[in-house]
Amino acid sequence: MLTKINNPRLMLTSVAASLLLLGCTATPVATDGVKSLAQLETVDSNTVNIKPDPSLPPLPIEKTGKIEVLPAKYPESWMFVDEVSFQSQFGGKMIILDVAEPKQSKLIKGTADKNLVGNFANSKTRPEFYILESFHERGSRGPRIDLLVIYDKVTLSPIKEIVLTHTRLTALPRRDSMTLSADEKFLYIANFSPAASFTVFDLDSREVVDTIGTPGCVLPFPTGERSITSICSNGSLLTTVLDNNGKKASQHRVAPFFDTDKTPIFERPSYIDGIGYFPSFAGEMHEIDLSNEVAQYKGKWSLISEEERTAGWRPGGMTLSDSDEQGLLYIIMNEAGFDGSQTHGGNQIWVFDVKSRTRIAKFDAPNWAVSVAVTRGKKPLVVVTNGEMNLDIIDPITGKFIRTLSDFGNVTPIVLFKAY
Amino acid sequence: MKFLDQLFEKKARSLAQTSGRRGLLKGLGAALVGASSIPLLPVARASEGPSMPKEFGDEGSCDYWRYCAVDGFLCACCGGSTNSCPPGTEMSPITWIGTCTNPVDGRNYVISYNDCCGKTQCNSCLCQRDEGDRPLYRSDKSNDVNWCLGASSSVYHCSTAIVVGIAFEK
Repeated sequence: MLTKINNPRLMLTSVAASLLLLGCTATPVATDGVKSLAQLETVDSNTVNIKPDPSLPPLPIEKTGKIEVLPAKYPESWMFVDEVSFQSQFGGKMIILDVAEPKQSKLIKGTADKNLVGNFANSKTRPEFYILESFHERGSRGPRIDLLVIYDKVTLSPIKEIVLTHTRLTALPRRDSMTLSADEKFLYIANFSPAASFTVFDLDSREVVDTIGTPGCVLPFPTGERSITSICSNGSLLTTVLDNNGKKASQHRVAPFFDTDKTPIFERPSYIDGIGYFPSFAGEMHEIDLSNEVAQYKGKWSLISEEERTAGWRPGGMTLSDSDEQGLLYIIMNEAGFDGSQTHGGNQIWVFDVKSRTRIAKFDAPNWAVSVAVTRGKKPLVVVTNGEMNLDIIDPITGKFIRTLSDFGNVTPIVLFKAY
Repeated sequence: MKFLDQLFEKKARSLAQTSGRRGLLKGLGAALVGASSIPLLPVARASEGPSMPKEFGDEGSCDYWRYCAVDGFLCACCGGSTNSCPPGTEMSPITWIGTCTNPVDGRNYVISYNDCCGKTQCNSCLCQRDEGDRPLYRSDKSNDVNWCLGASSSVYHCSTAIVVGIAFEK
């Protein structure tokens, strides 16, 4: 056999392929030949004996160099997992995962690197997504470069890399560190140096338009058609209105509505029909209308009853809430909460109809809940980052635990994004 | 009172951010030299002031009193200590603060959690306490931020817990 291979590279390929085959578990997969099926003798459910049959025709020769691509529109059950890799931050990445896929080997659809606690944003209408990451020239040493990388959703290859100034927010990942305008013409990039600002990036021209200061106010929550609202250190909001070119037209203050020391709120909202839902540490839900040119505070209501408050129930988690396409809000609740437990997670998921401001369901997190996310579609799945940093899949209709996803390159998958 | 508290915290924070560690050591050294040059007087030992404040506990343990608002790898487990960085790293000059109670003297202290930077993550003694931690809009009290943004390398290694002042209330 070996004497027939004249090209040494081909020989190595062949040997490697043989070794790989030896390492794989033999499974009784149906083939075209009835005869080959007859050779399989099942010993037990895990072991199959194969009798070699040299009279069979050889396998067709395959081409090397084949690279998979993804569909232009991702299925509803796919999600982007932000793997910040807290213990090895050179290994951060986005993992595209089908959380409804029953076969372990088919869970991962692809990955994109995201170095040094990078930031991520996803597009609903453009065939691309965005990663902002940093590199030092020699690992942890040398000059630093910050790059906005525009990725092709189909090939998962970079389309363009844009060098930015060294002011990007480097913090534990969140859904709002980079956001898009309603028409997805502009990308808004949070800066924190620690001076707060945001950068406007034109996704058509692929150029930075401007960086706009928001003193004392952080994060770019998209508002109306061309506005950005930031949350401020005195409990107020600041809305920046842009002109059609992405330049600052005006800025507007929304009066303080909470005390950042005594009644703090989470800066990680969920969105339903243009309203941003910002839970407080103690269990109130603040509504901010982000559908018009300037943000408007709409008041607050309680997630918990007086009895539950007395018992110690509080919201909490790294990414503590998400919404589905039916307008329901899912939030992690901790029955033993306190000031200090706000990012620790909780033991239940509560589901709210925000229109009626009522809780319609609650279910246990099977293995604790640090973060929660919900897939797209009419029959969504709830995905919970559990205490062991694996993902628990739950049917929100029945509240039943379906399965745990692990061994998909996960270390600290603390934020999940819907995929489009 | 609250105003004074906040002012004090800001001053302590400002001091922590603007004073170099070498400057602090130099000052402390001068004070010690000055003290040693004062002649010992024949006074009763009993009339001496109280002894220096003490601390109790394992600085390598997450429940150590100084770590009340920490979120990260403890430098005390990484070749450093509560107030020093491991060899070859760089201390970020800007950071977040917490207010922790020392159980030995019952006082509240302002703790500055300066990050040590420039080497890959220490990966020992991960500790998340978060008492008094606030979201990003209160960046002075936010431990979600990679505070190595103030160092020459943005690579986070571990977190210290340095006493930078006395707080009047928690």
